[in-house]
Amino acid sequence: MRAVAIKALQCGSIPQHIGLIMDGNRRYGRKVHVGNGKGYYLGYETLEEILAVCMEMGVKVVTVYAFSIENFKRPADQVETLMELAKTKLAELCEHSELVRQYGIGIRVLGDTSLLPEDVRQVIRKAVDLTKKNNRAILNMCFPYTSREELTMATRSLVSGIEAHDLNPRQVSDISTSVLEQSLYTRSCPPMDILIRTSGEIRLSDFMLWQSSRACHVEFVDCFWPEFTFWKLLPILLRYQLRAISIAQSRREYSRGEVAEDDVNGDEGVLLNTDIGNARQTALEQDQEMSRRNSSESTLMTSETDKTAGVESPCGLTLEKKQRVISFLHHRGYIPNCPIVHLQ
Amino acid sequence: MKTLVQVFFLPHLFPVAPELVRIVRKDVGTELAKKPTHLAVITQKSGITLTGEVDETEENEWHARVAQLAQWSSAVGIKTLSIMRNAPLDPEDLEALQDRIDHTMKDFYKEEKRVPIALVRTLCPVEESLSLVFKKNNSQATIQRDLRLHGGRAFDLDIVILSPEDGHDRLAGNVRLLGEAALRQQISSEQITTSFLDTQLSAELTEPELLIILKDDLDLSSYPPWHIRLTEIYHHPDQAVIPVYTMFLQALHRFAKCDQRFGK
Repeated sequence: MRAVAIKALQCGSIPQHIGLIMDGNRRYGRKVHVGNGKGYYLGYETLEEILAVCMEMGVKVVTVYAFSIENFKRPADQVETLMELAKTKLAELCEHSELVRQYGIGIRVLGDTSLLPEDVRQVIRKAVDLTKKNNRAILNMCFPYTSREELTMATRSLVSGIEAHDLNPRQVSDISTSVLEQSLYTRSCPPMDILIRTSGEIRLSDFMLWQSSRACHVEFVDCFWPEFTFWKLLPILLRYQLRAISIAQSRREYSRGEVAEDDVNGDEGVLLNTDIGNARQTALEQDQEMSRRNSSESTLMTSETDKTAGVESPCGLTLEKKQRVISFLHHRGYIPNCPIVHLQ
Repeated sequence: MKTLVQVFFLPHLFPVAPELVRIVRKDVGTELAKKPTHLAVITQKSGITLTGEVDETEENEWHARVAQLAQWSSAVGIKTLSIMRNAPLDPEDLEALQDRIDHTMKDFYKEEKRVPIALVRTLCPVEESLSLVFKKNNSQATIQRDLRLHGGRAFDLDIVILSPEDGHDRLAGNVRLLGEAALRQQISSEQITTSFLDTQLSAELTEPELLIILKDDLDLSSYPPWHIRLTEIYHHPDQAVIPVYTMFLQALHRFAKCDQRFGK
C-alpha cells in the first residue's frame, strides 16, 4: 500500500530537502504512560521510519532538530538521557545501519558541538568520519543547534575571512546572500523544500530560520512526533507538490534579484569614472591581482575546486570570484562536522 | 465539508470588519491572557509586481488593508505592526499611505476623546545600525530608539513596511558592513556574538510575538529570518472564505492560549 502511494507521489516532484522539528516526545511519553525518557526513544524509532520513507521516495537531505542549545536548560537527567541516546544511536547509524549503507547516507552534525561532553563529541567525529564519503544522501542531525548561533557563526567566519583578506567586502559577490547561505551549517545541501513541526506548536523555535523563511513549504502538524507516520506525511507531500512550481519560481526570482545586485554594485568600490566598460575591466584586474596574491594556495585549490564543482555557486560570476569563495569555504571557513560534499 | 459549512451556514456569524474602535474592543474581549506588543502581517501582494508593473487598484486595496490593520492593532493595544509586502514602497507612496492611515484612524476613533498616532516607516539603511552596538547606556536605549525611529515625533503605533530586501539580503549586507568595520579595525571578528548581532539587528525592528500570514500558502516570504525565532505563526488555508478580521481575532485568541517553554 505504501509502495503504491510512493510510486504515485513520484509522478510529481519529490522534495530534495526536508526539515523536521521532532517535537512532543515527552508529552507523548506522558500520554502513553511510559515517561519522558522512553518518549525520546520512541521518537528515535519514528525518525528511523520517516528517514527510511524519505530515502525510498528519493529525498536527498533530511535535517532534524534533535537538540536545541536552549534544551540544556532542561533537568539534568533528561539532558543525560538525550546525550546517551545520541551516543548510542549515532554509533549504531554509522556502524550497523542497513539504511545508511543502502542509501549512501552521509551523517553530519550541525551545531556548536563544543558545548557537548567529550565522549559525545568523539562519537560524533567518528560517525561523521565513517560516513563522509557517502554522497547519495545526507542526514543532518542538529545537535546542539540554534539558527541564531548558525547565523552568528557564519557572520563571524565571513568577517574573519575579510580580516584575513581572503574575501573582499567591496565585492558584493564575495559576501552575497548566497555566499552567506553557503557559509551556514547546511552548506552543500539543496535549499529546504519542506519544514514540518509536530505537536501542534506553531513556531519555529530557532530552527532553520534562514532556510525556511523563503521558498519553503512550512507545515504545523497537530500530533506528537512519535505519532507521526508516513500517512501523516503523505498529505503534506501532496500539498507541497501543488506548490512546487511556485516555490521554484520564487527561487528563480530571488536569485535573479541577487545577480542584478551583483551587476549594479559589484564595481562600486573601484568605480573611478562613468565608463562602465573601464570599471568592469578595473574590477577584473583587481580580482586577478587578488588571485595572484593567493597564488601560493591556488595551485592546491585547483584540484579541490574541480572535485567540488558541485557546490552550489552564485550564478553569473567569474571563475576567479567563485574560486575565492570556494577556497575560503574549504580553509578558513571550514566546519569540522559538516564536510562539503558533492551530492549525486 | 467544513469549508462548505463555513461558506453556506456561518457567514452571518463572521463579524464584519468594524468601523469603530469599541466594536473591536468588544470582539476581542477582556479575557485574553496575553496580547502581542509586536504583530507582523505578511500580505498577499501589493499592486507592484517584481517586474515593476503597477496595478493601481490592487495597490489601493493594499493601502486600505494596511490602514485597517493599523486600526485594529491600535484598538487592541499593539505597539508595533510590521507589514511584509512583495516589493519595496517608494517614499511618495509611503507619504500617501501615512495620509490614508491618518484619515482612517480619525474615522475609527470618532467616538473617542483621543485619536492614537500611528506613524509608518520603512527600515533605514543597514549602515546606520552599527553605531548602536557601541553605545553602552542600555537604560536609555529604548527611549532613544523610539525618538530615532520617527525623527523625534511621539507615536502610539509604529508601523514598519518591509519588503523581501529587508530579509535575507539585509543580513548579507550586514556581513559586508561588519567586514568593512573589521578592515577599519573598529571591531574584530571575535566580538561578533549572538547578542552583538541581536543588538544590531533589533535596532530597527523588534521580534514579533505573532505573525499572521494573509496568503493562500504558509509562505514566510523572506520575512527577516533573525526576528522570527519564537514568533507564533498563524495561518489559515481558506483565505478566500475566512475574512481577514476573523483571522485577526482568531490569531489573537490562539496567541493568548499558547504556552512557550523556551527549551525547558
